[in-house]
Amino acid sequence: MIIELTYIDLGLGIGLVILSIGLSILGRIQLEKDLLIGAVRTFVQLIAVGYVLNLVFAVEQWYAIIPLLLLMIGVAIHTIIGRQTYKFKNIVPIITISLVIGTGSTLILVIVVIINVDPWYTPQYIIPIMGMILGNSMNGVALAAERLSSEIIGKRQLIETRLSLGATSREAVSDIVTASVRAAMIPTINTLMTVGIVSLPGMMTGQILAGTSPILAVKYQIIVMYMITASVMISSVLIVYRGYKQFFTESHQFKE
Amino acid sequence: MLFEFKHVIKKKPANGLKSSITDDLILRDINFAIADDLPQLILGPSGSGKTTLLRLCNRLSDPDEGEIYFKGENITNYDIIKLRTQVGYVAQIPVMLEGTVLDNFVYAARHAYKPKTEKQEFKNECAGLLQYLNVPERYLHQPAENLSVGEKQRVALARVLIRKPDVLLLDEPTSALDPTATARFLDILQKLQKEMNIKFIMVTHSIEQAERIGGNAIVLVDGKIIEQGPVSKIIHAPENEISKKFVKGSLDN
Repeated sequence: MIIELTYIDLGLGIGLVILSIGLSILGRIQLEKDLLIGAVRTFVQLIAVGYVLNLVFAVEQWYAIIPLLLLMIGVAIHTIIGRQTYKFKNIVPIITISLVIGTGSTLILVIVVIINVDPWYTPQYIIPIMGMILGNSMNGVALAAERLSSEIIGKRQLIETRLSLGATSREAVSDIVTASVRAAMIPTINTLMTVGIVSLPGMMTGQILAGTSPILAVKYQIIVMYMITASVMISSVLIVYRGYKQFFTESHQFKE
Repeated sequence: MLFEFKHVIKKKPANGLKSSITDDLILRDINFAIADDLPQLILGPSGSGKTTLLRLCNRLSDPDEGEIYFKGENITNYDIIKLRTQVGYVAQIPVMLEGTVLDNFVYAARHAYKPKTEKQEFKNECAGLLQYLNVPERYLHQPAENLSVGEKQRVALARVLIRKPDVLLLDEPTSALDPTATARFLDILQKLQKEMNIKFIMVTHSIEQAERIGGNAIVLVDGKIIEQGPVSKIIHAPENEISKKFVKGSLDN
């Protein structure tokens, strides 16, 4: 049985932040303000999410889950767009489609086929799983899109040289397209390589803390790693192959 | 006629907040024809629309209005890849593709026809072209990025020639070169013209170069053709006041 945490316990936890702030003042590191704001935001945001989740868990109906999932996707899209230095044409629908297909297909596979959750909308499973898939895909898509547009713009002369030598626009950017997908996948692949050795994943730690046997927690973690891989891969491939087309016309020339 | 321009208009690309108020045209109603058998020069000061006009010929960009005909057929009816094989393009600043000089040839040839690029025959052809353009043959297996600008420009030319084009578009091909490299490049162009019967359409702002290449010319100022005819006539007896000034100014430089 897991030990209950009271708000008094949380208050004691603030001591850890005060300790960090004290060190910041002593060392003139000037992080006091950021630490304070960050600590307050963490508290407020997580408590709020906790109450929302509590509500959704209590209702336990698909019509409570779907809006929450959509909200999560919406925030992820907004975050990705915000991080782009160059916003190419149709960026919003393209990112939406990539993210929805990438995360959606993975989510369905994991929930329905692999874990076989019944009913599928059981919040205990679908929400944390979507959270993990979406968070990673969001970072992947943001990286891929940024890399794609910055390279296509930066290498315009090289691309036009290729086009004038008879390459199609797809051939002319093929190295940029692959580099963008690779850039999106590198963090995920690094985690696949080092997980368990360098760090213990948060989800697994959480499950163990909550009393799950380490072996079961590890099994879940393996599935989580694989689903993150698939989701990041699918969404970044989609964004890149849809995205590059926005820079070119049907006649293999740059749009002006 | 090799190329024919009919009422060609090109607008400035829509850029951010700038609204399309009045003076936003790069090319204003261009009408002219390029002869089959003579080099065609596009003269004019910088910013007059010369490069824009040239890039319409291999459809690196399209006009906003008007039509362009290539060998009597509307340019948009051609398969774009085949058009770019027939109409080769050498840019102002040579951009080398990744890898060796040979890799550059392979990339260029592969998209024009299906050469057996691994065969010695293809390598010999590339080496022969290099030699013809005064680039040492041994450069074939060196990284293209290591060459000097002058050598790169000649490799860029050779890379287009391996594609066996009918026409070459040359966009101020010597502007990045020093006087020695420029002289060499012009020698090569004249040699190509005489010995290989390659047709040129060349953009330049140098009257000196124009006189060397010969053929026909247009003078483009502010997106309009202000004078056209044989190069010698434009240089020695320009009719238009602005082109008189341009010819004189360019010679003074």
